[in-house]
Amino acid sequence: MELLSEKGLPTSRSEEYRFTPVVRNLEGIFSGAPAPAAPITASLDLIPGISANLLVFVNGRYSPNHSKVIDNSLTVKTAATPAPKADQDPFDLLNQAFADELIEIQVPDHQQLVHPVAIVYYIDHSQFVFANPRWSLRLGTGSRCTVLEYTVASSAASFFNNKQSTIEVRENARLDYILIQRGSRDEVMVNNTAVWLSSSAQALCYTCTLEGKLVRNNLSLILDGEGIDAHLHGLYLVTGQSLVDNHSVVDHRKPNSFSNELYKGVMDDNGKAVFNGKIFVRTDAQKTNAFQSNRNILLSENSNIHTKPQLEIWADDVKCSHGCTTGQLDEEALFYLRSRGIPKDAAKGLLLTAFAGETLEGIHDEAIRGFVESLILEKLHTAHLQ
Amino acid sequence: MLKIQNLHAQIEDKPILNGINLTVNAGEVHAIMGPNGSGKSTLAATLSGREEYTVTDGTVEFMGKNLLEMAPEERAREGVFLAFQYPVEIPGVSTINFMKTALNQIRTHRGEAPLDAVAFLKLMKEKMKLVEIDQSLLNRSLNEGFSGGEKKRNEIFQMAMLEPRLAILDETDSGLDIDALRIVANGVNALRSKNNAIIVVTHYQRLLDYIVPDFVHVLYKGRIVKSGTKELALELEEKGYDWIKAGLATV
Amino acid sequence: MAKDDHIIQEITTKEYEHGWVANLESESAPKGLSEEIVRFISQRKSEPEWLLEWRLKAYRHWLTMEEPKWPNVTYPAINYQDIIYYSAPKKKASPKSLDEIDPELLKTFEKLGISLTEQKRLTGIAVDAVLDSVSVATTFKEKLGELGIIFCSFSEAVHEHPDLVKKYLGSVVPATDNYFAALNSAVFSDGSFCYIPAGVRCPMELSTYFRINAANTGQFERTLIVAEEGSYVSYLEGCTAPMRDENQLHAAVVEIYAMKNAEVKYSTVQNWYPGNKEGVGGIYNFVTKRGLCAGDHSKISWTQVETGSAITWKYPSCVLKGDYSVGEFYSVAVTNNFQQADTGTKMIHLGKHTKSRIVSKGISAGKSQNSYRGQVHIHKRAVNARNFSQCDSLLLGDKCGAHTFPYIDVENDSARVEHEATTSKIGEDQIFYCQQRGIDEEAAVALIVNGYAKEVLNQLPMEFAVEAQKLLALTLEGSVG
Repeated sequence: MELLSEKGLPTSRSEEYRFTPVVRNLEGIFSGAPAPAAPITASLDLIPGISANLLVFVNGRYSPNHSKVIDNSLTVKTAATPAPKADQDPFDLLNQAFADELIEIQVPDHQQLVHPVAIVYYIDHSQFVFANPRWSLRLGTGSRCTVLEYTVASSAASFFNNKQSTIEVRENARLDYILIQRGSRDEVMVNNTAVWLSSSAQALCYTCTLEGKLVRNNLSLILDGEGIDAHLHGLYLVTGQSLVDNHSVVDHRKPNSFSNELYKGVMDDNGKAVFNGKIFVRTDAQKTNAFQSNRNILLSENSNIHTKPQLEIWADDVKCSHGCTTGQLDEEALFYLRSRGIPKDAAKGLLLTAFAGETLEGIHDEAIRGFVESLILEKLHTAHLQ
Repeated sequence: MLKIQNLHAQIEDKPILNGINLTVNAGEVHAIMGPNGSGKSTLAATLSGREEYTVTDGTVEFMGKNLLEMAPEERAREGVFLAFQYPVEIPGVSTINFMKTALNQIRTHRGEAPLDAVAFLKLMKEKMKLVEIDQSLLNRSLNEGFSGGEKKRNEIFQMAMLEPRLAILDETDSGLDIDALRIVANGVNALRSKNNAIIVVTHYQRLLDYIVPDFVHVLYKGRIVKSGTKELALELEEKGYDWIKAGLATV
Repeated sequence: MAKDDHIIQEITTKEYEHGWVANLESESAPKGLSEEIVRFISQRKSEPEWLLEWRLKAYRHWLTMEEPKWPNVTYPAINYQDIIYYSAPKKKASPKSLDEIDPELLKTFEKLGISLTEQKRLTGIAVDAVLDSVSVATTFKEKLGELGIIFCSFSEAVHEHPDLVKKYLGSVVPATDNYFAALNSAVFSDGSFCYIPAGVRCPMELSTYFRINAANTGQFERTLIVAEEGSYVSYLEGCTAPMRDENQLHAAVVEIYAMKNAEVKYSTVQNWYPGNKEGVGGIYNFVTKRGLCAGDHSKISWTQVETGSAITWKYPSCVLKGDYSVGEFYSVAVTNNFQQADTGTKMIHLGKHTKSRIVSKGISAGKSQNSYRGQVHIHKRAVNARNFSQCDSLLLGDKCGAHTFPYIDVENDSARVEHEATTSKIGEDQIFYCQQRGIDEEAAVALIVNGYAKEVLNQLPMEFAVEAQKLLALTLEGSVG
């Protein structure tokens, strides 16, 4: 807390939070103390028909009673939070000031988990909740694991979920990490996730943001090995008064790795989005291939997008590119569909679905992919984006 | 003109050429044939001085000089020309500008005065006819957006411009339809003389119907396993490379 | 890779060819900056009261400002009290004709390849030459005068055309705009002024050559270009400096004001002394350049070839206020040895149907750092705005860095904004192909780099393009394969 008060929480004057006034959104509702846990009535399963290892945080605190581990090889332990360091993100420090435990999740070497690990944030909606969940995940050498992360809250819930997590993917391990953000319309979410990848590791990180008053995702991938294959996909459908801010870092520290980043967004109403994608290629990271693409569609007069794709390259034998576009739905395509008898709204819906659908490529599990797709369709429907 | 003795070469740590012996005299056309992976393109690359290929043993003498210790551009200036199997694209650099730079560097090396723009254009127009290449193509960035046939014709056009002593055609026939093949072959034949020599590297006999070789060599596992005249190519065509492999296995 | 190292070493031995010092007597202000110095400069130039006040206001504001820290460059703190803010070649009175100019000075410019003698100029480029801080000669003045075009030194404009200067000075880059612009506003000593009347197409290229000569001197010139309705002008800027161990500060301001249907093309070939191969000396080039497309259908186009300076901090920008106005930015920035460049542009779309295009080609060699930093901002009322940006970086050698920082802010849903960027090393295949045709490695690199930069070089007027090509080849002499 001392470090934090020294540093202060970021304001719109700081470069990294230029468009995202997290602090302003918290003023007046900030109560500080974690709310008491209440009995859970809602279903915590995300995907019907898929059973998962359930790890439940109730109002930010891990609840073994509500959790359920079904794969024997998966271990979940409670540990003390590590000592804070000065170079941490302010929200990480804030989390540390409130979180008194770190949940350590481990997949042993060479184990391939049969079921996904679902990390669920259950929010009690009777009062404003300031949640500070904190966990770490380690995928041992050659292991494989799918992680689903989501929030369960009633649509009236008002809360600030300040989540901090680290994921370590050892040699030859494979991580599928799917983060679905559709907690509630009044949700403020700050999400710090750092993923450390060792040689020959494979990772897909998919961030799908469908709801929330203010969502800030800080996702960092540190490629600290050779022959790594990393994919970061993201989709943000921003409506109402929402602000969604994705800050990503892909840090190539060793040679011969590959990363591909694809983030897409559709903004409607007064929706506002920020994308900041940094790619670092360090001096040692020769023969790196790093690609990034950010595509945005603005649908309404008052929607906004601020994007800053950033390449910082210190090695010469590399192939890196980024592309970024902002525009509207393709009028030509829209006309083509209409000329085949498809009504305008349906045609728009089709095109938006196709636009959003590209981000789903790479999710291996068909059931999960199908489910995420259905969430996207539902959002496109309910938000009258069609 | 060219004397290759016991040439061994490797890429990274993988040996590809395992003792090539070949002598080429002025006025001769040699065809190097062989199955995929036999080392044909490696031989072409080694002779032109690609850095990735390391020579581990043997000698190559060209016009009495040690070819292997020359930089690629020195080899080119001495008169070794490689028609690339996959010519690269260089954006923003027109073929004309490129050829003018190359030709004048070679002329300077030979102790000749550089050509001025007028003389250069005149020479270029003359050589363009040989390969039926259009000037609009030469005004464009080097090979950028060229079709396969256009790239190969551009290679032969450059050969005509630079008048090499030894031309190595690396799979020049690959990816060409019959008309393009004929144009390319006509260009090459027009450049044949008693003063120069040509090495044709190819997988198929087809090209040799048009560029008739004096000698045919079959490369297998990095060695020349059979040499003969143009009839050898026909025999190969008929019997396939398995015939060579089988023949070797019984020895 | 030992060969590469050898070649990289070779580049660093390349000498700066404009690094001589002309033996000119000069008159300077004492070192340091204070209100007195500002008054001294203003008095020395016999300026009207309003301009002194303008300077003082800028100075007082500057005192409250902080040096920007956000550019991706590092350098030791500048001691602003250790700089001479005014240095002028000594002369009796203002020269009435070129015959009266100090022959030593004429020689200085001849050495730079810039002839101030009009009869020798066959190319039809009018030149305003600025040495240290003072404009020394402007050519072709009469001929331009017949068309109503004003092209003269800034000091002269203050006296001869005070109304125009007063109206437009600071109208695009306010005196308080940023740290270096405020400093410039306080102490600028001269520069060029250019006014193109309505409907006039300037028949020749207008050109300013800047040279820093005196030691410990900062150069703070100011250029103001006003293009009235329906006019056109192409403006060129070139710069050199002697080699000195200490860093010298160059903080210029360029303002362009374009009315309805006016078009201004501004080209720069920047070749300030970059410092030696150990990174000692060189010019700090902290420049504010901005154009305002005030009228509908106006167009401002910036083209720059940046090869010099120890540090470049420069973002030629366009404020697209008029409907259907167009902004363009074409840039080649080459850094070598210990050079650092943080350069790019800002395209601020305010008007409807405004269009902008950005083409940036960065080339880094040696131990240099090359950053593109650019902003495209589509404001709320900029209906149907369009932007296309292409930012490429080429790396020669493994000790340099290339960085891209584009900021894209879109507040209008009818906008179309596209940004593409690539970073790659120079193609070994391409170099080998050239070598196989007899072209040596050095010439091959020059050829490929020129091809890479061609889209930008094509934007330059012919004579400048040739100079720029040579400069590129020279800067990268012996580059890596």
